[in-house]
Amino acid sequence: MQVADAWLWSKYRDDEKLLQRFREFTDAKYDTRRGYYGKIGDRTVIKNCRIIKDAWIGSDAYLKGANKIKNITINSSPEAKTQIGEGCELVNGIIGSGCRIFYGVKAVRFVMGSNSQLKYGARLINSFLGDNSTISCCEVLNSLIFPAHEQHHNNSFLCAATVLGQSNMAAGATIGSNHNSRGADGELIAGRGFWPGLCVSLKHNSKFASFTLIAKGDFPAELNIPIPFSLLSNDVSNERLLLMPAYWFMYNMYALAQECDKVFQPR
Amino acid sequence: MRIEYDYLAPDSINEIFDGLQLLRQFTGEAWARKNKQVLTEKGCVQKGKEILDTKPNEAATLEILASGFENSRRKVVILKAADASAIFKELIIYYGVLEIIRLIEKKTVKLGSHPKSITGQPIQNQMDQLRWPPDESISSSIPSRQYPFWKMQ
Repeated sequence: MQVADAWLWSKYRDDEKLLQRFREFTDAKYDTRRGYYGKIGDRTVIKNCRIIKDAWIGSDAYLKGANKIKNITINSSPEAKTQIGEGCELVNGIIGSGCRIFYGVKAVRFVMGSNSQLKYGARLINSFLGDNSTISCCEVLNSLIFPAHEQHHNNSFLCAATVLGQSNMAAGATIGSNHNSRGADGELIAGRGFWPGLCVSLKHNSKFASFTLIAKGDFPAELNIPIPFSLLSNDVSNERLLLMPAYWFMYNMYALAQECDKVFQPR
Repeated sequence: MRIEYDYLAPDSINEIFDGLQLLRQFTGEAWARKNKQVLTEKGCVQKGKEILDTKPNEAATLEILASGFENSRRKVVILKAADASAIFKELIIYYGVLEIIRLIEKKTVKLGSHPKSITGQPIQNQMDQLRWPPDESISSSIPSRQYPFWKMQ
């Protein structure tokens, strides 16, 4: 499954006929019967792992010190070796080729694209993380994240978020921080290049055009920003919201070049 | 599967078209508010286009407010609308030219089939001819541009 497939599945939840056809496609391709043995590919190394159950592991993978690997498919090949390190608990997921998961990662009900990384206690739950992405130290729930997403510090996705890739999450950003129930009852849709800055708190359902940069601050209401390449900032002292379209081209060309340079580098 | 990494792609370009239209509309509304005029939505867009394209100094004096951007009663102020409008227009042209070059490079367009209205040297399927500036020796004769887009390739 590619991230675009997941987008189709998630976008049209009210179209029962379409979803039924998707299920039929899937069932035609994969067996629904239970009771298969696990598989481990050639040259795969497994050491000091505690529980491995119902796992299909490709060739050349390296698993060391994982706590629990259950109902997991790990794609791996000589060209793109997948590594799983200490303290990881991975349940009900699919891991793409060339991924690295290490140091206390908890992932449940997830899909990871190829060449992505989860590290340093990251939690990935009910989510799809696209190719060439990195998440470390933080929490991602109920999100569909397209390729080249970077998230390195403590921050959270607390609503149902769709982020179209090439995105950055700065430290302390919380997306959907005012969800109303225990579930992820808000929704955020962001175009490519979404970049909430330090401690940005987006409280409610919001939608952003491509390459929206958000300056530090609490944004108290729903936002719909349709103009791309904008800087959004909260002018609290004057009680107004400021938007500078085409900001990237006026003041931040370096960042734009950096975002567009996130091309695949085989490991 | 092809993953799109270019900052200019159908998604962002379409948003630029929409954004340009919104900038014009909000600028026209700001002008009408300041001058106590009543304009239709179409009239606002036309007036805003005129101001952004020909009177950027006047645009800088207007308080350009966006509507529908935030679910609140406070103002949403658009800054540097004339600069943004100029950049967006340039990006649209730049993207269009890039796509034409890509099409020609794929050899799906025969050079002989170009409309006569296109002037200039024929393209020989070499990107070097099309880089800006094409050559350091002649770059000094070309006026400097404010936004060095060629560096983004």
